[in-house]
Amino acid sequence: MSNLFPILAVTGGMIWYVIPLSAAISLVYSASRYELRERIVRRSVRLFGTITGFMACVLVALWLLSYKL
Amino acid sequence: MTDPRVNLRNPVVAALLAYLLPGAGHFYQRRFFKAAIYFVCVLGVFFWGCSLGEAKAVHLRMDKTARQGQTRQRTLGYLAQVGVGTPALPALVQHKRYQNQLDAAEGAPSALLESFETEFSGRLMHTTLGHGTVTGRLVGELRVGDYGFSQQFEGTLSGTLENGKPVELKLMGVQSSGDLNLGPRVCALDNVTLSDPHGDPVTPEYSAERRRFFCRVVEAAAPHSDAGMIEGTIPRPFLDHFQVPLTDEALQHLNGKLGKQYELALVYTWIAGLLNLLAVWDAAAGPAYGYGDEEEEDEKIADSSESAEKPPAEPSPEPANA
Repeated sequence: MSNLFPILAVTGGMIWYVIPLSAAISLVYSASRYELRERIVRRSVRLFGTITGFMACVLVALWLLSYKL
Repeated sequence: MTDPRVNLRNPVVAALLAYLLPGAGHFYQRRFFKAAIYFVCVLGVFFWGCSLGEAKAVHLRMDKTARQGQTRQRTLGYLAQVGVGTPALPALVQHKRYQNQLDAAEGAPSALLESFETEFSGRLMHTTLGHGTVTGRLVGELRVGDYGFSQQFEGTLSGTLENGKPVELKLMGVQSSGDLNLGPRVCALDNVTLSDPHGDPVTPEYSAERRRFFCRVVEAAAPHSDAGMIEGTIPRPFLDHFQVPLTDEALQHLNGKLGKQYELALVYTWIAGLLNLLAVWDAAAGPAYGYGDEEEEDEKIADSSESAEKPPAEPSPEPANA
C-alpha cells in the first residue's frame, strides 16, 4: 500500500485520521439539519461516504499527477 | 419556522448551555439523541486534538510585542477554538495572566514579583563544596531590579548533596548580570536544559511542569562574593501552564518535535469549535431543514421519474362487484 501511495508513507499513517474526523463532522452536520433519528443516521452515513469518497478521489488524482516524479 | 413538534423550551438558555458545554443545550431541551451526538463528537474531536498537540494546541496570543510585529499573534485560530465553549475558555484568563506578568516585570523598582517556597532539584557548582546534584527547599523573593528594570532574586536553598551532606546555600542573582535565569511563572513550555559540565553541546529540553532556575551562590558572610551557582528546576503548577500563550521558541520546539501532528491538532480543535456553532444554532432555532419525515429530494426525483415512465392506469371497464 505504501509503495502504491507514497503519500501514505510520507504522512506516517496520519491520513487515516480523516476517517473519525469525517464521521464526527457528518454526524454533527446531519444532526443540525434534521430531528428524526433515522434521518440523521441515514444522512450522516451518506455524507460520510461523500466526504471520504471525495478525499479518496483527490488522493488518487494526486497520485496520478505525481506518478514517476 | 421551527417545526412545532420540536420543543425548544427557552431557546436562549438552550443556546447558552449548548455553547458552554456541547450537548448540554439539547439535553436541557430533552433532545437526548442529539445531545449525545454533539457531546461525543464535538468534545471527542476537541480533546483528541488537544491530545495530539500535547495539550498545547489551545491558546490565545495577542501580546504587545506581537502588535509591534516582533512575534506572531494567534487570534483567528483561537476564535475557532473558543466555539467549543468551556473547554477553551481558560485560555482567555491565561492570556490575561500572561500579560499581567509581562507588565509586572516593568514595575516600580524593588517591587515584589514573586515569593518562593518550593522544591528544587538540580546541580550545584561550588568553589568549596565541589560539583554534584542537589535537592532541597528553595525559599526567596523575586523583585524588580533597583532601577526599575531587570529582576533580582534573593533567598536560600536548604538541601542535601548527592553524598547526603546537608547544605545551606545563600542565593543572590540579578538577571541583567547573567547570574539569574528564572523561567517565567506563567508559561506554557519552558526551556529547562541543563548546561553540560564539560561544555559539550546538549539537546534542548522543554517542560511545562518544571521551571528553570539558575542562580549565583554567594558566601553567607559576604553577599557580594561569588561562591558558585545552582542550576536546576522547580515545579510549575498545572494552572500556570494550562492553555498559556506559547512563545515563538516554544512553538518552534513543538513544531520540530511533533511536525504535522501539531498542525493536525490545531485543525481538530478548530473544527470542534466550528462544529459546536452548528449545535448552538440548532439549540436556538431547531433543525435547519426540517423534522426529518419529509420526503427526501432524491426520493422525490425517483418518484417523479417512476411516474413519468409508467403509463397512466387504464380505468377498469367494469367494477368488480358490479
